Amino acid sequence: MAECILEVKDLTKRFRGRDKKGREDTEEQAAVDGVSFSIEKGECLGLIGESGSGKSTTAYMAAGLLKPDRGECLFHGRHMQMVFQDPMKAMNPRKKVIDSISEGLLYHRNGLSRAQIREKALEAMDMVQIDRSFAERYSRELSGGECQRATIARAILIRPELLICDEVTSALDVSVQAQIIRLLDSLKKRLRLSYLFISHDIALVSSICDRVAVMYRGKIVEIGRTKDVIADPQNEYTRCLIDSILTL
Amino acid sequence: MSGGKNMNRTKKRAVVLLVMLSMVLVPTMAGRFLAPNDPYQTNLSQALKGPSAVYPFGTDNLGRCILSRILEGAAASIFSALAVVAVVFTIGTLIGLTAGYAGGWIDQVLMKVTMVFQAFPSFILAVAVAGMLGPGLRNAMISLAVMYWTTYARLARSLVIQLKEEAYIKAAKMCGAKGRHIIFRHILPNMISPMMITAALDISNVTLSMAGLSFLGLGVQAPLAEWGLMISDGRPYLQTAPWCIFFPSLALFAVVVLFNLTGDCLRDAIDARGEGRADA
Amino acid sequence: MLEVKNITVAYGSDTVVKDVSFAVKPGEVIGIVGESGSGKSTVLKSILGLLDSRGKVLGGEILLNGENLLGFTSGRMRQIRGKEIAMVFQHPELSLDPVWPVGRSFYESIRVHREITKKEAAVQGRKLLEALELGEPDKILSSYPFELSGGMCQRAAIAIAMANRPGILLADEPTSALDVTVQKQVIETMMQMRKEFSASILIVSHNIGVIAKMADFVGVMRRGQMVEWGTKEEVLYSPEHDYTKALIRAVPKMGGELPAAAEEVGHG
Repeated sequence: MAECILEVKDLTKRFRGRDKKGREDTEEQAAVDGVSFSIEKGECLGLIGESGSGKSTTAYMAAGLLKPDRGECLFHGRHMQMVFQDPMKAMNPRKKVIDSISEGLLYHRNGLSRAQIREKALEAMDMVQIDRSFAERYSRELSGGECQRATIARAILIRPELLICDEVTSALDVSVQAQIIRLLDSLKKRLRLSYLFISHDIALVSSICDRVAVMYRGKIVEIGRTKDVIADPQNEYTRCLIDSILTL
Repeated sequence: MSGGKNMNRTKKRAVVLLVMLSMVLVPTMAGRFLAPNDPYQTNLSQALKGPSAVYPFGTDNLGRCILSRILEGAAASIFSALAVVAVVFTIGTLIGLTAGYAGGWIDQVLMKVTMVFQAFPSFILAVAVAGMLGPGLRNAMISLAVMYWTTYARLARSLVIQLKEEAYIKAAKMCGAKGRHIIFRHILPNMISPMMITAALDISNVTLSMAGLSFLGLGVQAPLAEWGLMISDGRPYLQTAPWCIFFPSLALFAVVVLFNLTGDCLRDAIDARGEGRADA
Repeated sequence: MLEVKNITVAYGSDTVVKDVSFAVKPGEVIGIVGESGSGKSTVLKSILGLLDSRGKVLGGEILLNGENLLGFTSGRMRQIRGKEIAMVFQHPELSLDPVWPVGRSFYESIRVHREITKKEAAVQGRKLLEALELGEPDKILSSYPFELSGGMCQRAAIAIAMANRPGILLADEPTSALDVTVQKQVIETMMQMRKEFSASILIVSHNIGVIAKMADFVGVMRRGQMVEWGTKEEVLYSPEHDYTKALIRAVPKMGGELPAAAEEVGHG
């Protein structure tokens, strides 16, 4: 077996929820309930589920943005980064694009000067194919696709080994989505990235992911090679999900 | 785009207001040099005289030039209000920021304290504090600060709590940002505009409250010139010498309206900028 | 029965719909696909006269059974809305009144157009929900929107839209806020409704899969213009226009291949 970049063991997170009438629940609900998986180096693992399945909560815990109640995440690399759903909200509206992209190197500079950081940020912009002229603009002046490219540039600036993508294309048009997916795929090869790719769109996941995990009500109900899961789903929910897909 | 047109109109309004504001503020800042007469020079033979060439706004019961006293009093009325707003803005922002960012018991304690202050009718609280501290401009300012800081603390806290959940804050954390980076780089710059709007709209409120305290005898003390005090002093002569009340009231009115309009304009400008997103 | 002829719509000085024409015949499902900013929702809003204050139809005709809706007074339009043409929106929780149980919304939407008692409305509501196979009709009618799931809410909204038996149902991204498994149910409800009441449906969506599943005729919109129009087979399976081709290539398919990103497509 190849080397793992991320190992997630028995991850559990409970939220004090509210029931449908808005009363505070006395019982805590498990948003994520005993989730385990691992991602190999250079692999893209898809995490599929519908709203409320706990996939984003899992992503936040894997990224270290949320403390799990139980379980652990072992990261065997130096850096991991995350790209978010709504690119407009993932950029500080009061900062220029170049400043947002530079942020990755701002806090641990490794002795780089401002000019060097700027140059690296511009190179990252080249890698995600946004024109350098956007550097001095603000995020609101960019289209959704351009903005998402900028957030990807920020994420790859410190050359992470793992990139967590949380519904990165669901706020975008299909044609823009296709561009972003192609970009992520080319970056994967170029920078030898591993991905944790969260999405509700099983067709999209099938196009980019090597393996896929299906989440339902806080649990992983099925995990396996994408081709196998799609061709021969073992779990009833997975089957239902695949049946619901509308493609051409 | 029509958004751009709105922006231009807002800009024009802003320029007009700034010109008007400077027309009011510059003379008052240079008040004592522009005053035609000595604001403290009493002259009983000239008491309660109507507007004339020598005394453009007339004289009060002690024969002092009302125009000169209005110009002299502007400092106490306007600049004390500006100072109070600056102080409550800073204190309130600090407290709200701490409460909102730290959360947990710190938040609980700070917000309970805020609620205690808000439990009193605000002007009554100011009057009570001023009464305890004794009259005088400085004490009046302190009591107004006690009255006004809660708004800022609560606004700052709610803004921080809202901003804390933004995706760009999460992205910053992924980049290794520490608390101070997040606060100074992301949270403060994004909360400052709504706070500024509130502050701009509050300048007129504080000006009025200050005049109110002086009117009640709790603010600036005679013989110092202050608009509220002048209005109060002019009360017995409302029928015989209405200019004693009219001109200080007019000055107060003009300043309050101007600051209010400026605040509105500032809010429009900031809102318009928020709307001008590319995806709209 | 509904014919849109060469309409041009502008918001302020931006022309968002340019010279768009199509026709909806009885019992047909017409699908309009397009990306954000293509003007597809604006077309729907102009049919019902629901454009916001800055929007204005600059030219063309919208004919309902031969009469031009654009010439109608707002009072006349109110009679058309709900009675002749009904609409469902993307967010069902926004189209149902949150302080009313579903049954009350149902009753109110009938009462706008004709006299009816609450009892009769309840009976009709139950029948309609039964016809649409929505599980426990009485429970749904007595529930408030927030007590129902998003999908159930949307299906109830569709039932309410059909309360006055309109000939045409306009649907603006009716499944876009829903999960895929729920999306399937909502589509089934709409198709069932067409079968039961032989109503026409005009559905607008960015989701080509939804359109492919439902529509008989498909229009593709881009930057305010209808770039391609034809039967579903023609447009989606042998498209002629480059934009349609690129759009279809960009849709992710099950089974491994990356969606094609033609540079020509994106304005991003």
